[in-house]
Amino acid sequence: MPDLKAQASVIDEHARQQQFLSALWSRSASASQLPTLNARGRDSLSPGGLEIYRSNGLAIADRALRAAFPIVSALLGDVGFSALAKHFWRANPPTSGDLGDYGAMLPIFIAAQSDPALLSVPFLADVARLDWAVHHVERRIDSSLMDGSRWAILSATDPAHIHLNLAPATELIESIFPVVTIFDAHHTNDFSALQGESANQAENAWIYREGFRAVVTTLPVAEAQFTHALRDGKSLNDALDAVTQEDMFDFSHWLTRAAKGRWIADITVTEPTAGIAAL
Amino acid sequence: MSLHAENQWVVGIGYRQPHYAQVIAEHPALAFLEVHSENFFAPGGAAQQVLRNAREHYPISLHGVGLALGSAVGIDERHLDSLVTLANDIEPVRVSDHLCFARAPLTSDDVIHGSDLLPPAFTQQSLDIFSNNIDRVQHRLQRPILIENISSYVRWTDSTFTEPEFLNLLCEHTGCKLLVDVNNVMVNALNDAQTHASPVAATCAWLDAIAPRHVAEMHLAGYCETGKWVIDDHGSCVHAPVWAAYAHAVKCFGAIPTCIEWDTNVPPLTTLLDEVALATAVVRNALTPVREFEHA
Repeated sequence: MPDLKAQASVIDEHARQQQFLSALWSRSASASQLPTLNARGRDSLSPGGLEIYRSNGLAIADRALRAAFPIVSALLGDVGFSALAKHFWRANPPTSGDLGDYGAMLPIFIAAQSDPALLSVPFLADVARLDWAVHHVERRIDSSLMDGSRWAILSATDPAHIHLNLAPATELIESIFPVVTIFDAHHTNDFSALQGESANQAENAWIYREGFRAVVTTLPVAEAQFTHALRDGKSLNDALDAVTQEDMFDFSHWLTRAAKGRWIADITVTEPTAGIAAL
Repeated sequence: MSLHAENQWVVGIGYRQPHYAQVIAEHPALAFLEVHSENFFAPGGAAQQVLRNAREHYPISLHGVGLALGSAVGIDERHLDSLVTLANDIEPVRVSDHLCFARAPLTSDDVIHGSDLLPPAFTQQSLDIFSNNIDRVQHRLQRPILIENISSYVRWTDSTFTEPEFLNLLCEHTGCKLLVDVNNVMVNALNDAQTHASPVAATCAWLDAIAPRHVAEMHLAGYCETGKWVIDDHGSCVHAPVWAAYAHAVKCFGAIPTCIEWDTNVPPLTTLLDEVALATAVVRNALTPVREFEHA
């Protein structure tokens, strides 16, 4: 039989802690919300002490977001990014004690905002997606070199049954903005490439690791279509079919780069289903 | 012999990014390096390699800030999984976290994490919650963890235990150990200045109330004074009152492993090593009269 007394006591502390966190996330905490809370050793009401926690929680979130979104931070400047971080923190509190995981929803949050300051940077959400991809790729599990014998599958098996499994530390960002050019400009501090026609050019960013460092490069449309299909779990045959500009895609060339960059974690074969085999 | 080489292998430092390369290159005499566990939770990348390199030269103490052991909703199993994986990989000398809560549902069933060390009430109910959560963590880690007392800027008036009573009971109930942060006790005493005639005396009284057998590590750090508040910011040298309290702590607990923490405005490594040398001198001086008494 459950210990009702113990259960009830847990509910008490549950309510206390929920009220405390709610007070931190509210714009102005009311002392009456937390009747047994006092600032240490002082006669003042609790909000003075609560404000320290509220400020600290926000400052910690701000630091974590700046580390994960360096280009968004540079584009908005200190004040602008702090305002964004504050709004995001209120709407999307952290759910994990590992703040390296905090910020996954920021690109979507940015895209949903109507703030003129954010709207004036139309590519901000896509740059945020790229920032997050770089941050995440650098934290993902390290790729080991694939067993060399696996390459033989490519010449010995029907492409309809071959799957090229991309390495965990890779990401594809498809954008209607020149996100890679913006990324490069911020890393080289040379913004000349954003002055001409390329300022309006769509770019697909491919992110992978060289050692521990994320590398960001552009993928032509055909390669992006192929990569997108692989990421969706399509077979090699279906991925090749997904390429609409066939004359712009050289699989051998892609494969050479993929091998060199360790983009492929493994090559696997799926058996045909009974129905297909009967055909 | 340089001041830095005199470390008697009791004192270590918080291992932070600005010092990674220099520590590995110069191998200063340190008892251990302490890292924030969560900074190394990523399953891959440079951080893992940094920690493995350090582990080749020094014992590593894993000091967490995110387990939120006092949370009534329990422990985040994903967080605990990451800690267990890290501990199995690094084989640390100690694993520690704080006497705090941080996780609770905000308005619905979605549990959020406050990203801070939030102050628990010292009640029987809270003791039961901590005990259950610590049991869970220790079962997964297969070792005792150390619990650190926190600095806090508010307190609950319905607490029924003092903080030392609460900590002692927690150790007795779970077999966990204590990480006594002398700076945190002092910061609380300074913020309670209206109720304490002497913050140093109040800090020493707090230390006297802790059962020495439970203490497995101590922390030292700097604080800053903002006018209304004294803030535990780990951003300066250890202050004189904390050194005085540390000397008292060493007399109470013995030559316990001690970490110099410095997390904001991180200075050159030599500044930290000077602090290590000072702490070592305090340990030596605090214990000398005891040895003479024993010989007499």
